[in-house]
Amino acid sequence: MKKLLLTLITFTFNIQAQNILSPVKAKILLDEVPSFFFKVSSDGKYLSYSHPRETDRSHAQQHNIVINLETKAKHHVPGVWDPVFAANDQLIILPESRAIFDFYNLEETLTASKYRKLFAADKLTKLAPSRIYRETDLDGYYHSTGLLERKRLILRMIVEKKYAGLGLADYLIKDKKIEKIHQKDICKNQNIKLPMLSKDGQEIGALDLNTHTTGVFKIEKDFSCSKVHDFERPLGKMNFSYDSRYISFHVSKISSEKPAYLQNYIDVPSNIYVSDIEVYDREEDRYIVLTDNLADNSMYPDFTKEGDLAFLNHPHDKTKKVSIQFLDKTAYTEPEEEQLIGNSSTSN
Amino acid sequence: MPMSLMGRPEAQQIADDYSLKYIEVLDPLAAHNKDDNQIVFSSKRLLKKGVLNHFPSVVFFCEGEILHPIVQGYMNTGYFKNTIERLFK
Repeated sequence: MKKLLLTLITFTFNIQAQNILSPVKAKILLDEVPSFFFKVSSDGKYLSYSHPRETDRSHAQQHNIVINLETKAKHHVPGVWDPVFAANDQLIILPESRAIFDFYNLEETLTASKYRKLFAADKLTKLAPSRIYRETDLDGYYHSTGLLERKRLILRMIVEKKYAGLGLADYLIKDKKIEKIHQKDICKNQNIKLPMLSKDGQEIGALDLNTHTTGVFKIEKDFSCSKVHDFERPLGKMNFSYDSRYISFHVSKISSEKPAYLQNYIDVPSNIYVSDIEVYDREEDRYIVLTDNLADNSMYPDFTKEGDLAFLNHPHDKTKKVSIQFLDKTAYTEPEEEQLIGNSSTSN
Repeated sequence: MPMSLMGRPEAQQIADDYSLKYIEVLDPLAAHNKDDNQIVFSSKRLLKKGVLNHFPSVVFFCEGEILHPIVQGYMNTGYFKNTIERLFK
């Protein structure tokens, strides 16, 4: 009898390994595992991520990939890591190194990538996409972008500077040209890192090193920063919705601690952990749980302009493919009662 | 992002400079790619402190006691040295 009970539980466990609390709108299976995060374009048409070159296990040599979700075409684009869509998907920013950020026109870059596949190697240089701007003064990591103005297209980019603090630069984009307006050190009155800029360029989500919790910081006119929200726990890879009302993130948990009925009967190995996606609704001051995994890691949520929420899903079962999944915005705008949680119930 | 990974030799070097033991622990999801001598993460205590919310994370500890809040993301050598000198002086 005891044996039968265990078998049933194992079966149930496998079936519910990925437990998404809202219907999945689209699921894209990937042939390779992104090395770091991925990004989705604002219109939801493209995905970008980095992937190590063949057998390079040190991950030092990456290449950047963009996938067109409509045609399923896979493009190898310049740069070695962290491809980020910018300025309503007109641009893609591709770091060449820690201190060099190259700005490319997205469509031209993808066209060049497409034709590179068709021609012989000696024609590659002629078909390389033309870089429209190279940033060499903003030395840092973890770049993210926002749009300050939409009429005059003003792009804002922030980085975590190599030695300390955050750097910001604003760029005017006009007629396929980019002009840098200014560059500033920001948030010098705060002790924060891992910054993620809101889509309107006015706020930053970041880890507060004084409290070791994640917070939201408003960028003031004098480029100091005011803390406007504290999540009271550290969060993974925050992402603002386009209207800044919602903030998505991932949190890691131990799967064995989640279903109480399982805890009483089986001992899940301690190395099984899961990551789940949550959204914080700033207007309603409430948290919405979007995944409740038992043996999957859902990570790096990213909003589209329409409000869909894309995230990366790593099954623990290595025979299953990594995927990017899209949830409709109703998943967090119209949550079920059981998806609503208080802050303390998921604190790490 | 790769700077985090490139920070590994820096962290190793600093640990050597201060004669501290340096232990790298692998994300369980990357365990299929591990070398024979790599350790796979399995600590509930560290997980509850958010150590897997970001790769890499750094833990300063001594005799089982965590001495400093978990550090997430790349930190420069100056930060490491200052922290070690403060914690282990």
